[in-house]
Amino acid sequence: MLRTLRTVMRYALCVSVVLVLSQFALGVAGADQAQAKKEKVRKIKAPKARKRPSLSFRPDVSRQSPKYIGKLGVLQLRDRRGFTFYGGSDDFFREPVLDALNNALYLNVKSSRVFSQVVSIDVKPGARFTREDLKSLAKKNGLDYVLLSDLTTFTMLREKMVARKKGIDFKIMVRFGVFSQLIEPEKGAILWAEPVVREMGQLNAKKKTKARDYGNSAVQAVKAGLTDLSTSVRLIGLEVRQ
Amino acid sequence: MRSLSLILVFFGLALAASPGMAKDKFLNSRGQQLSYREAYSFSQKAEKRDIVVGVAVLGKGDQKRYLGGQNGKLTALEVAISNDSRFRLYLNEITLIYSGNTNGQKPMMLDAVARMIGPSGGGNKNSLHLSILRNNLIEKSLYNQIIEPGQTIQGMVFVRSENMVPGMALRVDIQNLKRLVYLDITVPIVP
Repeated sequence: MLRTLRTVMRYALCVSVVLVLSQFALGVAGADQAQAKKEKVRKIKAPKARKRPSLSFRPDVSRQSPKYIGKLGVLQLRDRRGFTFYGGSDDFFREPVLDALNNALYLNVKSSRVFSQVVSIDVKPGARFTREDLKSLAKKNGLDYVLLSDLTTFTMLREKMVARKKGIDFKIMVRFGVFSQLIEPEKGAILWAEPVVREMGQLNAKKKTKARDYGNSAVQAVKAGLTDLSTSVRLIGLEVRQ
Repeated sequence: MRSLSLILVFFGLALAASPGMAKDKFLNSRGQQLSYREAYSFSQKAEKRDIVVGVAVLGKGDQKRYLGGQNGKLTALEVAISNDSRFRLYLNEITLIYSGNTNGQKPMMLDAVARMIGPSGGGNKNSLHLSILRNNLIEKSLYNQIIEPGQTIQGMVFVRSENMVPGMALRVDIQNLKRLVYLDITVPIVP
Protein backbone atom coordinates (compact mmCIF):
# COMPACT_ATOMS: atom_id res chain seq x y z
CA MET A 1 0.00 0.00 0.00
CA LEU A 2 2.74 2.38 1.05
CA ARG A 3 4.76 1.40 -2.00
CA THR A 4 1.84 2.14 -4.35
CA LEU A 5 1.24 5.49 -2.68
CA ARG A 6 4.90 6.38 -3.06
CA THR A 7 4.79 5.46 -6.76
CA VAL A 8 1.69 7.56 -7.32
CA MET A 9 3.27 10.52 -5.49
CA ARG A 10 6.45 10.21 -7.55
CA TYR A 11 4.40 10.10 -10.72
CA ALA A 12 2.37 13.15 -9.66
CA LEU A 13 5.54 15.07 -8.82
CA CYS A 14 7.03 14.19 -12.18
CA VAL A 15 3.91 15.33 -14.04
CA SER A 16 3.75 18.60 -12.10
CA VAL A 17 7.44 19.34 -12.82
CA VAL A 18 6.89 18.69 -16.52
CA LEU A 19 3.82 20.91 -16.50
CA VAL A 20 5.66 23.76 -14.76
CA LEU A 21 8.61 23.46 -17.12
CA SER A 22 6.36 23.29 -20.15
CA GLN A 23 4.70 26.50 -18.99
CA PHE A 24 8.15 28.04 -18.63
CA ALA A 25 9.28 26.81 -22.06
CA LEU A 26 6.19 28.07 -23.77
CA GLY A 27 6.23 31.20 -21.65
CA VAL A 28 8.20 32.92 -24.42
CA ALA A 29 5.12 32.68 -26.48
CA GLY A 30 2.51 32.68 -23.79
CA ALA A 31 -1.20 32.51 -24.17
CA ASP A 32 -1.27 35.28 -26.74
CA GLN A 33 0.78 33.17 -29.12
CA ALA A 34 -1.62 30.31 -28.82
CA GLN A 35 -4.36 32.75 -29.68
CA ALA A 36 -2.29 34.22 -32.50
CA LYS A 37 -1.75 30.79 -34.00
CA LYS A 38 -5.41 30.70 -34.81
CA GLU A 39 -5.54 34.22 -36.22
CA LYS A 40 -3.77 35.26 -39.39
CA VAL A 41 -3.15 38.72 -40.77
CA ARG A 42 -5.03 39.27 -43.97
CA LYS A 43 -3.60 40.87 -47.06
CA ILE A 44 -4.12 44.62 -47.05
CA LYS A 45 -6.54 45.83 -49.67
CA ALA A 46 -8.01 49.24 -50.38
CA PRO A 47 -11.41 49.59 -48.73
CA LYS A 48 -14.56 49.91 -50.79
CA ALA A 49 -15.15 53.43 -52.15
CA ARG A 50 -17.89 54.27 -49.65
CA LYS A 51 -15.70 53.23 -46.69
CA ARG A 52 -12.57 55.18 -47.63
CA PRO A 53 -11.51 57.97 -45.25
CA SER A 54 -11.18 61.56 -46.38
CA LEU A 55 -7.82 63.32 -46.42
CA SER A 56 -9.29 66.79 -46.13
CA PHE A 57 -9.09 68.71 -42.86
CA ARG A 58 -9.62 72.21 -41.58
CA PRO A 59 -6.26 73.93 -41.01
CA ASP A 60 -5.61 75.99 -37.90
CA VAL A 61 -5.78 79.68 -38.75
CA SER A 62 -3.03 81.85 -37.32
CA ARG A 63 -4.17 84.91 -35.39
CA GLN A 64 -0.92 86.72 -36.10
CA SER A 65 -0.78 89.45 -38.73
CA PRO A 66 0.95 88.55 -42.02
CA LYS A 67 4.72 88.63 -41.62
CA TYR A 68 5.67 89.37 -45.23
CA ILE A 69 3.96 91.66 -47.70
CA GLY A 70 3.64 90.17 -51.16
CA LYS A 71 1.73 87.72 -53.30
CA LEU A 72 2.77 84.08 -52.99
CA GLY A 73 1.83 81.51 -55.63
CA VAL A 74 1.62 77.90 -54.44
CA LEU A 75 2.36 75.52 -57.32
CA GLN A 76 0.97 71.99 -57.56
CA LEU A 77 3.00 69.25 -55.90
CA ARG A 78 5.39 67.20 -57.98
CA ASP A 79 5.03 63.49 -57.17
CA ARG A 80 8.51 62.22 -56.28
CA ARG A 81 7.51 59.22 -54.22
CA GLY A 82 9.18 55.82 -54.41
CA PHE A 83 6.15 54.11 -52.92
CA THR A 84 2.51 54.84 -53.56
CA PHE A 85 0.31 54.68 -50.46
CA TYR A 86 0.24 50.88 -50.25
CA GLY A 87 0.64 47.95 -52.61
CA GLY A 88 1.05 50.08 -55.74
CA SER A 89 -2.20 51.93 -55.20
CA ASP A 90 -3.39 55.30 -53.87
CA ASP A 91 -7.03 54.26 -53.76
CA PHE A 92 -7.14 54.23 -49.98
CA PHE A 93 -8.80 57.65 -49.68
CA ARG A 94 -12.01 59.23 -50.80
CA GLU A 95 -10.26 61.87 -52.92
CA PRO A 96 -7.34 61.43 -55.33
CA VAL A 97 -4.28 61.73 -53.07
CA LEU A 98 -2.43 64.41 -55.04
CA ASP A 99 -5.52 66.63 -55.35
CA ALA A 100 -6.20 66.38 -51.62
CA LEU A 101 -2.59 67.14 -50.69
CA ASN A 102 -2.40 70.07 -53.12
CA ASN A 103 -5.48 71.52 -51.53
CA ALA A 104 -4.12 70.93 -48.03
CA LEU A 105 -0.80 72.58 -48.90
CA TYR A 106 -2.47 75.69 -50.29
CA LEU A 107 -4.96 76.02 -47.42
CA ASN A 108 -2.28 75.50 -44.79
CA VAL A 109 0.10 78.09 -46.25
CA LYS A 110 -2.78 80.52 -46.62
CA SER A 111 -4.13 80.03 -43.10
CA SER A 112 -0.67 80.36 -41.54
CA ARG A 113 -0.76 84.01 -42.70
CA VAL A 114 2.93 84.20 -43.51
CA PHE A 115 2.26 86.24 -46.67
CA SER A 116 -0.35 88.89 -47.09
CA GLN A 117 -1.76 87.20 -50.20
CA VAL A 118 -1.61 83.53 -51.15
CA VAL A 119 -3.00 82.06 -54.37
CA SER A 120 -3.08 78.53 -55.72
CA ILE A 121 -1.56 78.20 -59.19
CA ASP A 122 -2.94 75.35 -61.22
CA VAL A 123 0.37 74.49 -62.84
CA LYS A 124 2.22 71.24 -62.31
CA PRO A 125 5.91 72.01 -62.82
CA GLY A 126 8.11 69.61 -64.75
CA ALA A 127 11.17 67.85 -63.38
CA ARG A 128 13.35 70.75 -64.54
CA PHE A 129 11.48 73.91 -63.73
CA THR A 130 13.75 76.60 -65.15
CA ARG A 131 14.15 80.24 -64.24
CA GLU A 132 12.51 81.28 -67.53
CA ASP A 133 9.43 79.13 -66.79
CA LEU A 134 9.23 80.67 -63.36
CA LYS A 135 9.62 84.21 -64.62
CA SER A 136 6.86 83.90 -67.20
CA LEU A 137 4.56 82.20 -64.69
CA ALA A 138 5.12 84.95 -62.12
CA LYS A 139 4.55 87.67 -64.71
CA LYS A 140 1.32 86.06 -65.88
CA ASN A 141 -0.09 85.72 -62.36
CA GLY A 142 1.49 88.81 -60.79
CA LEU A 143 3.43 86.84 -58.19
CA ASP A 144 6.17 88.16 -55.90
CA TYR A 145 7.17 84.72 -54.61
CA VAL A 146 6.59 81.12 -55.67
CA LEU A 147 6.41 78.00 -53.48
CA LEU A 148 7.63 74.95 -55.39
CA SER A 149 7.03 71.65 -53.56
CA ASP A 150 7.86 67.98 -54.07
CA LEU A 151 5.92 65.19 -52.41
CA THR A 152 8.76 62.91 -51.32
CA THR A 153 6.78 60.35 -49.35
CA PHE A 154 3.21 59.52 -48.48
CA THR A 155 2.99 55.87 -47.66
CA MET A 156 1.73 53.37 -45.12
CA LEU A 157 4.36 51.38 -43.25
CA ARG A 158 3.90 48.68 -40.65
CA GLU A 159 6.15 47.69 -37.78
CA LYS A 160 5.68 44.45 -35.88
CA MET A 161 5.49 45.19 -32.18
CA VAL A 162 6.90 41.80 -31.15
CA ALA A 163 9.42 40.29 -33.55
CA ARG A 164 7.73 36.95 -33.89
CA LYS A 165 6.25 35.54 -37.04
CA LYS A 166 3.12 34.47 -35.25
CA GLY A 167 0.95 37.28 -34.05
CA ILE A 168 -1.04 40.11 -35.52
CA ASP A 169 0.31 43.00 -33.46
CA PHE A 170 1.37 45.66 -35.96
CA LYS A 171 1.89 49.36 -35.57
CA ILE A 172 0.46 51.01 -38.66
CA MET A 173 2.25 54.22 -39.53
CA VAL A 174 1.66 56.81 -42.19
CA ARG A 175 4.74 58.73 -43.29
CA PHE A 176 4.34 62.07 -45.00
CA GLY A 177 7.26 64.01 -46.46
CA VAL A 178 7.46 67.14 -48.53
CA PHE A 179 10.34 69.27 -49.77
CA SER A 180 9.52 72.90 -50.51
CA GLN A 181 11.39 75.86 -51.95
CA LEU A 182 10.44 79.50 -51.68
CA ILE A 183 11.71 81.22 -54.81
CA GLU A 184 11.93 84.84 -55.88
CA PRO A 185 11.01 84.68 -59.59
CA GLU A 186 12.77 87.88 -60.65
CA LYS A 187 16.29 86.63 -59.87
CA GLY A 188 15.55 82.92 -59.47
CA ALA A 189 16.96 83.15 -55.96
CA ILE A 190 15.94 80.43 -53.54
CA LEU A 191 15.10 82.15 -50.27
CA TRP A 192 14.14 79.12 -48.24
CA ALA A 193 14.33 75.37 -48.91
CA GLU A 194 13.66 72.69 -46.31
CA PRO A 195 12.34 69.13 -46.17
CA VAL A 196 9.66 68.09 -43.70
CA VAL A 197 8.91 64.48 -42.74
CA ARG A 198 6.30 63.45 -40.20
CA GLU A 199 5.11 60.02 -39.19
CA MET A 200 2.01 59.15 -37.21
CA GLY A 201 0.80 55.72 -36.24
CA GLN A 202 -1.43 53.56 -34.13
CA LEU A 203 -1.46 49.98 -32.96
CA ASN A 204 -3.48 47.44 -34.89
CA ALA A 205 -4.06 43.98 -33.46
CA LYS A 206 -6.74 42.78 -35.84
CA LYS A 207 -6.66 40.49 -38.79
CA LYS A 208 -7.76 43.12 -41.26
CA THR A 209 -6.46 46.68 -41.76
CA LYS A 210 -9.45 48.95 -42.06
CA ALA A 211 -9.90 52.61 -42.96
CA ARG A 212 -9.97 53.67 -39.31
CA ASP A 213 -6.52 52.13 -38.76
CA TYR A 214 -4.74 54.52 -41.13
CA GLY A 215 -7.16 57.37 -41.95
CA ASN A 216 -6.66 59.34 -38.78
CA SER A 217 -2.88 58.86 -38.81
CA ALA A 218 -2.72 60.04 -42.43
CA VAL A 219 -4.60 63.26 -41.67
CA GLN A 220 -2.51 63.88 -38.54
CA ALA A 221 0.77 63.31 -40.38
CA VAL A 222 -0.19 65.63 -43.24
CA LYS A 223 -1.47 68.30 -40.87
CA ALA A 224 1.64 68.14 -38.67
CA GLY A 225 3.98 68.18 -41.68
CA LEU A 226 2.33 71.16 -43.32
CA THR A 227 2.17 73.04 -40.02
CA ASP A 228 5.92 72.46 -39.58
CA LEU A 229 6.48 73.77 -43.09
CA SER A 230 4.44 76.93 -42.52
CA THR A 231 6.15 77.54 -39.16
CA SER A 232 9.57 77.18 -40.75
CA VAL A 233 8.67 79.63 -43.55
CA ARG A 234 7.35 82.09 -40.97
CA LEU A 235 10.53 81.85 -38.89
CA ILE A 236 13.22 81.93 -41.55
CA GLY A 237 11.37 82.46 -44.85
CA LEU A 238 12.80 85.75 -46.08
CA GLU A 239 15.27 86.38 -43.28
CA VAL A 240 18.27 85.40 -45.42
CA ARG A 241 17.37 87.96 -48.06
CA GLN A 242 16.66 90.68 -45.52
CA MET B 1 16.02 8.75 -14.04
CA ARG B 2 13.02 8.16 -16.23
CA SER B 3 11.47 11.47 -15.22
CA LEU B 4 14.71 13.30 -15.96
CA SER B 5 14.89 11.81 -19.44
CA LEU B 6 11.24 12.78 -19.93
CA ILE B 7 12.04 16.37 -18.99
CA LEU B 8 15.01 16.44 -21.36
CA VAL B 9 12.93 15.07 -24.21
CA PHE B 10 10.27 17.65 -23.53
CA PHE B 11 12.81 20.48 -23.56
CA GLY B 12 14.23 19.19 -26.84
CA LEU B 13 10.78 19.20 -28.41
CA ALA B 14 10.02 22.68 -27.09
CA LEU B 15 13.23 24.08 -28.57
CA ALA B 16 12.64 22.34 -31.90
CA ALA B 17 9.16 23.82 -32.10
CA SER B 18 10.32 27.41 -31.41
CA PRO B 19 10.44 29.68 -34.48
CA GLY B 20 13.80 29.83 -36.22
CA MET B 21 14.26 33.56 -35.82
CA ALA B 22 18.02 33.38 -36.33
CA LYS B 23 17.58 31.98 -39.82
CA ASP B 24 15.03 34.51 -40.97
CA LYS B 25 16.76 36.58 -43.65
CA PHE B 26 14.14 39.33 -43.66
CA LEU B 27 14.48 39.87 -39.91
CA ASN B 28 18.27 39.81 -40.12
CA SER B 29 18.30 42.31 -42.99
CA ARG B 30 16.93 45.03 -40.69
CA GLY B 31 20.34 45.34 -39.06
CA GLN B 32 22.30 45.40 -42.31
CA GLN B 33 23.13 48.88 -43.58
CA LEU B 34 25.08 49.94 -46.65
CA SER B 35 28.63 50.53 -45.51
CA TYR B 36 29.37 54.23 -45.63
CA ARG B 37 31.79 55.31 -48.29
CA GLU B 38 32.29 58.50 -50.23
CA ALA B 39 31.64 58.63 -53.95
CA TYR B 40 35.39 58.97 -54.61
CA SER B 41 35.96 55.39 -53.48
CA PHE B 42 33.74 53.85 -56.18
CA SER B 43 35.44 52.42 -59.25
CA GLN B 44 32.68 53.88 -61.48
CA LYS B 45 32.47 57.60 -60.76
CA ALA B 46 32.15 61.00 -62.39
CA GLU B 47 32.87 64.49 -61.10
CA LYS B 48 31.61 67.95 -62.01
CA ARG B 49 32.19 71.17 -60.05
CA ASP B 50 33.26 69.36 -56.89
CA ILE B 51 30.24 67.06 -56.91
CA VAL B 52 31.08 63.38 -57.30
CA VAL B 53 28.70 60.55 -58.16
CA GLY B 54 29.78 56.93 -57.68
CA VAL B 55 27.90 53.80 -58.79
CA ALA B 56 28.39 50.10 -58.07
CA VAL B 57 26.29 47.09 -59.04
CA LEU B 58 25.26 45.05 -56.01
CA GLY B 59 25.45 41.28 -56.31
CA LYS B 60 22.69 38.83 -55.45
CA GLY B 61 24.24 38.09 -52.07
CA ASP B 62 24.30 41.78 -51.15
CA GLN B 63 20.69 42.22 -52.24
CA LYS B 64 19.71 39.37 -50.00
CA ARG B 65 21.74 40.71 -47.11
CA TYR B 66 20.32 44.25 -47.28
CA LEU B 67 16.73 43.45 -48.22
CA GLY B 68 16.16 39.89 -47.02
CA GLY B 69 15.42 38.54 -50.48
CA GLN B 70 16.45 38.84 -54.08
CA ASN B 71 15.07 38.34 -57.53
CA GLY B 72 17.22 37.75 -60.60
CA LYS B 73 14.89 39.95 -62.65
CA LEU B 74 16.03 43.09 -60.86
CA THR B 75 19.44 44.61 -60.25
CA ALA B 76 20.26 46.88 -57.34
CA LEU B 77 22.73 49.72 -57.79
CA GLU B 78 24.52 51.37 -54.92
CA VAL B 79 24.77 55.09 -55.60
CA ALA B 80 26.67 57.68 -53.58
CA ILE B 81 26.77 61.44 -54.13
CA SER B 82 29.43 63.54 -52.40
CA ASN B 83 29.04 67.29 -52.26
CA ASP B 84 32.39 69.04 -51.88
CA SER B 85 31.12 72.32 -53.28
CA ARG B 86 30.19 75.23 -51.04
CA PHE B 87 26.50 75.10 -52.03
CA ARG B 88 23.53 73.29 -50.62
CA LEU B 89 22.23 70.95 -53.31
CA TYR B 90 19.05 69.04 -53.98
CA LEU B 91 18.94 65.62 -55.61
CA ASN B 92 16.34 66.47 -58.22
CA GLU B 93 16.09 63.36 -60.35
CA ILE B 94 17.81 60.07 -61.20
CA THR B 95 17.40 58.59 -64.67
CA LEU B 96 18.95 55.81 -66.68
CA ILE B 97 20.17 56.58 -70.17
CA TYR B 98 21.18 54.24 -72.93
CA SER B 99 23.70 54.76 -75.69
CA GLY B 100 22.34 56.92 -78.48
CA ASN B 101 19.28 57.93 -76.49
CA THR B 102 19.26 61.11 -74.45
CA ASN B 103 15.78 60.56 -73.06
CA GLY B 104 16.13 59.19 -69.57
CA GLN B 105 14.21 56.25 -68.19
CA LYS B 106 13.12 56.31 -64.57
CA PRO B 107 14.39 53.62 -62.21
CA MET B 108 11.91 51.08 -60.85
CA MET B 109 9.26 52.18 -58.39
CA LEU B 110 9.71 50.67 -54.94
CA ASP B 111 6.22 49.15 -55.16
CA ALA B 112 7.40 47.02 -58.08
CA VAL B 113 10.57 46.06 -56.19
CA ALA B 114 8.53 45.00 -53.15
CA ARG B 115 6.27 42.94 -55.42
CA MET B 116 9.24 41.17 -56.99
CA ILE B 117 11.22 40.47 -53.82
CA GLY B 118 8.53 40.21 -51.21
CA PRO B 119 6.11 37.42 -50.43
CA SER B 120 2.60 37.50 -51.82
CA GLY B 121 -0.63 36.82 -50.01
CA GLY B 122 -1.64 37.20 -46.38
CA GLY B 123 -0.66 35.14 -43.35
CA ASN B 124 1.45 36.12 -40.39
CA LYS B 125 4.85 35.20 -41.80
CA ASN B 126 4.27 36.84 -45.18
CA SER B 127 2.85 39.92 -43.53
CA LEU B 128 5.87 40.27 -41.25
CA HIS B 129 8.28 39.83 -44.17
CA LEU B 130 6.46 42.35 -46.35
CA SER B 131 6.41 44.95 -43.57
CA ILE B 132 10.16 44.50 -43.03
CA LEU B 133 10.86 44.74 -46.75
CA ARG B 134 8.87 47.96 -47.16
CA ASN B 135 10.67 49.55 -44.20
CA ASN B 136 14.01 48.37 -45.59
CA LEU B 137 13.30 49.81 -49.02
CA ILE B 138 12.25 53.19 -47.70
CA GLU B 139 15.35 53.41 -45.50
CA LYS B 140 17.93 52.06 -47.93
CA SER B 141 16.81 53.50 -51.26
CA LEU B 142 18.07 56.80 -52.63
CA TYR B 143 15.38 59.47 -52.70
CA ASN B 144 15.06 63.18 -53.42
CA GLN B 145 16.85 64.96 -50.62
CA ILE B 146 19.13 67.84 -49.68
CA ILE B 147 22.91 67.35 -49.85
CA GLU B 148 24.66 69.73 -47.51
CA PRO B 149 28.20 70.96 -48.29
CA GLY B 150 30.63 68.22 -47.27
CA GLN B 151 27.91 65.59 -47.04
CA THR B 152 27.67 62.26 -48.85
CA ILE B 153 24.30 60.66 -49.43
CA GLN B 154 24.05 57.02 -50.29
CA GLY B 155 21.32 54.58 -51.26
CA MET B 156 20.03 51.92 -53.58
CA VAL B 157 18.47 52.39 -57.01
CA PHE B 158 16.68 49.52 -58.73
CA VAL B 159 16.76 48.60 -62.41
CA ARG B 160 15.19 45.70 -64.30
CA SER B 161 17.94 43.22 -65.15
CA GLU B 162 16.78 43.06 -68.78
CA ASN B 163 17.60 46.80 -69.05
CA MET B 164 21.16 46.29 -67.83
CA VAL B 165 22.88 46.50 -71.19
CA PRO B 166 26.37 47.67 -72.17
CA GLY B 167 26.51 51.39 -72.79
CA MET B 168 23.97 52.32 -70.15
CA ALA B 169 24.62 55.12 -67.70
CA LEU B 170 23.13 56.72 -64.64
CA ARG B 171 22.27 60.40 -64.97
CA VAL B 172 21.93 62.38 -61.76
CA ASP B 173 20.20 65.73 -61.97
CA ILE B 174 21.20 68.08 -59.17
CA GLN B 175 19.70 71.45 -58.34
CA ASN B 176 21.51 74.29 -56.64
CA LEU B 177 19.62 75.62 -53.64
CA LYS B 178 20.98 79.16 -53.99
CA ARG B 179 19.80 79.84 -57.52
CA LEU B 180 17.40 77.83 -59.69
CA VAL B 181 20.08 76.14 -61.80
CA TYR B 182 20.66 72.48 -62.55
CA LEU B 183 23.65 70.26 -63.14
CA ASP B 184 23.78 66.87 -64.87
CA ILE B 185 26.30 64.22 -63.93
CA THR B 186 26.42 61.01 -65.96
CA VAL B 187 28.21 57.90 -64.73
CA PRO B 188 28.61 54.82 -66.96
CA ILE B 189 27.41 51.56 -65.44
CA VAL B 190 29.33 48.38 -66.11
CA PRO B 191 26.89 45.44 -65.76
